[in-house]
Amino acid sequence: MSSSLRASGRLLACIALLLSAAARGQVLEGNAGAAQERPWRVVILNDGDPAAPAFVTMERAMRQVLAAPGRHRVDLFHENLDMLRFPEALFESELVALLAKKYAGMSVDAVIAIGTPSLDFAEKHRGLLWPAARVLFQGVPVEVLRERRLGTDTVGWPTQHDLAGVAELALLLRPSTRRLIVISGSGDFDRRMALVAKTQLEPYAKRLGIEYWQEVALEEFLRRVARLGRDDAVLYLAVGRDISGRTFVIPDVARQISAASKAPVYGPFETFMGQGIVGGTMYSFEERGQRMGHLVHEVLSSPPGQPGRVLDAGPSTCVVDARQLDHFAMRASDLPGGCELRFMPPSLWREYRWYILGALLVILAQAALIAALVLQRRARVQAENELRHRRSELAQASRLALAGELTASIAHEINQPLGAILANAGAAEALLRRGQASTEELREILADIRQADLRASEVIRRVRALVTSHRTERERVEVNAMVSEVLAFLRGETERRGIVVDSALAPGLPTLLLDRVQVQQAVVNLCMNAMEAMVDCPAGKRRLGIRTAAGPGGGIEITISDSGPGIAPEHLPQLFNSFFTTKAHGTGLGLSITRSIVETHKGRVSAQNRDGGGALFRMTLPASQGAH
Amino acid sequence: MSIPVIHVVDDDDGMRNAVSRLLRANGYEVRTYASAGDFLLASPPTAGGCILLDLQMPGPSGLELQKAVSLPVVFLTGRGDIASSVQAMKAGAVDFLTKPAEPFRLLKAVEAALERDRAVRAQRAGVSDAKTRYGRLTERERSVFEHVVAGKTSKLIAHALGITERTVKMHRAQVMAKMEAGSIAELVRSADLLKR
Repeated sequence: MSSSLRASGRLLACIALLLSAAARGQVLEGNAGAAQERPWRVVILNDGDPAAPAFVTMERAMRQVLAAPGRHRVDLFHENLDMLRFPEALFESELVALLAKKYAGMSVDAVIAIGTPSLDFAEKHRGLLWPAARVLFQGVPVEVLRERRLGTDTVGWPTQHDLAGVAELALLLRPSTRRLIVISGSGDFDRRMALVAKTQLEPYAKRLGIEYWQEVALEEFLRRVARLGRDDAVLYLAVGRDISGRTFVIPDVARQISAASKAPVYGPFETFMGQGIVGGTMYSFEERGQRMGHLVHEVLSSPPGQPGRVLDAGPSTCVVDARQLDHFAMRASDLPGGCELRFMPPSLWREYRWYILGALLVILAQAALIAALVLQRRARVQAENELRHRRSELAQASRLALAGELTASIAHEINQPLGAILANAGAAEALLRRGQASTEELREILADIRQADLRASEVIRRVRALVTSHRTERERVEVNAMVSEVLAFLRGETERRGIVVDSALAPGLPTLLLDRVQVQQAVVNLCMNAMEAMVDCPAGKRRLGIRTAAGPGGGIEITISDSGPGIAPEHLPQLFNSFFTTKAHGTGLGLSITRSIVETHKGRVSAQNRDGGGALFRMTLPASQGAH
Repeated sequence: MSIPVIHVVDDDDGMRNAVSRLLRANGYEVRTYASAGDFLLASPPTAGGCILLDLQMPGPSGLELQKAVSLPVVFLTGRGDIASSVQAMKAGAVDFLTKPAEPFRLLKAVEAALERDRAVRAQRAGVSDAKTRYGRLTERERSVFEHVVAGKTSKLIAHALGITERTVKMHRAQVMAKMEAGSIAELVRSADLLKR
């Protein structure tokens, strides 16, 4: 396994080698071909640290422009004069000899000189080293160029620092500033920057106390800035080397000074941004790199022999670090127009936009779902209420109909005691008239009248209890007592129909939580149904059986049987359906309402034929929650 | 003649007690029964009277009982539907009262029933007297009796029977004497009773 991997790795390496060899062959072919196809050779001359951030940024931007598709190919060569650390140019002759040997027999098309020493070197030795090359330059102060004549085919733009703009910015952001400290190091570049500053800041000397700190060790700089106060501002120009002779990466010193300083630090270079300075008026190194890339194309595409010229310095802009504004409690609204605000504290939105959007989406979806569910639930509750209301109305209507059906027996039930009352009263009258009335007998008569009266009112109470509409209420109900009441209620009807009632109520049944009136109605319906079934039975053979018994799981079972002809098998499945009836005047609602009532109580009702003839209806009511 | 008895048949205790109390207070002899069966099982009534009968009762109904007894019946019912009242009246009920019945109407109905019972009894008594008297008549006298009550003259009777008019008149005098009839009209009434 591992050996096969190694083998395939070796194979890949071979392929890579072959390919690169082929590519090299192509380049050689290109060189041997037409001069038109030869890449332009461009030497970059740098007098400072080639790894300095300013240079790196600039070169990257330039390479991007040069490598853009459709452009002439360019081969870049780097030469570093490193004059920052070796200022005396001790080795100049040796360096020229080395370069002459290096570039002998190679035609160089352009030399890019970055900084004044580089431009000096290029113009001085171009004839020997790169006779056909045009010289392009940048990073040369405008003051230097003013006093100098450029050779043929030398072109570039000056560096024009706007240090006055930096001072202006410091004053704008903190108008209370009374003192400006200008820091520069001991290197050539540092000293040149200090000179530029002294020239440019001259007009501010009246408004500000300007102090130039130079020629000290870095540690001393740091100690001093740490003691600055609220009314101070620091302009850090450059410390490439301090008095002790140590060299530094200039932006690194910007960071150290910013970190140590109690006062806001400003600077003239873009590479200081992000190191802790508040900001300044500065060139964009990126923009300058791009400009150089375009200039290379422009110059090499035009014929040689042009007189030397200095281009426009190009724009410098105000750039400010938003984090430092916050740190020094400065306001972005005080900035001049066109000022670029960098390092905006990454807002949650910018940082986590997709997470936030996603979360919002999820929340929205959830909210919508919840809303939909709430609406749905409300609609369902409404529908359920409506249904309950309708069912209750239907049950009520059916109870009224039932009462109507039972009018004759109810009348009988009431007339019986009324008749007794009347007869008793008549008897008392007669006794009194004849003077035969004994107190004892009269008392008996009055007691009987009272009893009959109570009986009549009890009948009325029962009817009213069944007929009046009521709120659906669950109460603890003794089922046997409830069944007895139903039988009392139906006594008139059973008598009228010549029906013998055969009741067997099991003792010791649990109480159930029921809507008493509704369950009574259900039982009455089943009894009426049984009685109707026996209309055609011969007198004396009409028996209504009603039984209560303990049902499964603590529930109760009520069975109602008749001695009628039973239920036709084809009718059994639809027996409890609404509007199903076999009677001429039936509504077909009685059994349907019965089932609805029983199911509301989570019970069941079923019908079957008995072995001995007749039908049997079984109603089971489950044990109530927490029944005891 | 014995005192008439009013038989109250009603399954409702309260009603039965109240009605019997009312009747007793008005001087009637009352017997009560909780059902038709109870009434039929009790020793058959010998004395006159009537039945105060509830129409709807468990077991045999009032109407069924009515067919089985000879005493006049007054119906008292909690529910007076037309069909059952017509049936009751056709079967010879004296009255058909609905509960609650005014005591005076109840008493009037009972009195009317007793009156009818008396009349029936009286009639029944007349018939048996007539039969006894008729039994005393000879064969010839019975023939003459038939002709006389048919309204025939002695002459016609003589001709029909093939005997003399004088003999007819003699038999006729015997018939009048034996049937204890003072006039031809009385003789005819006896003949009516005999036909029953």
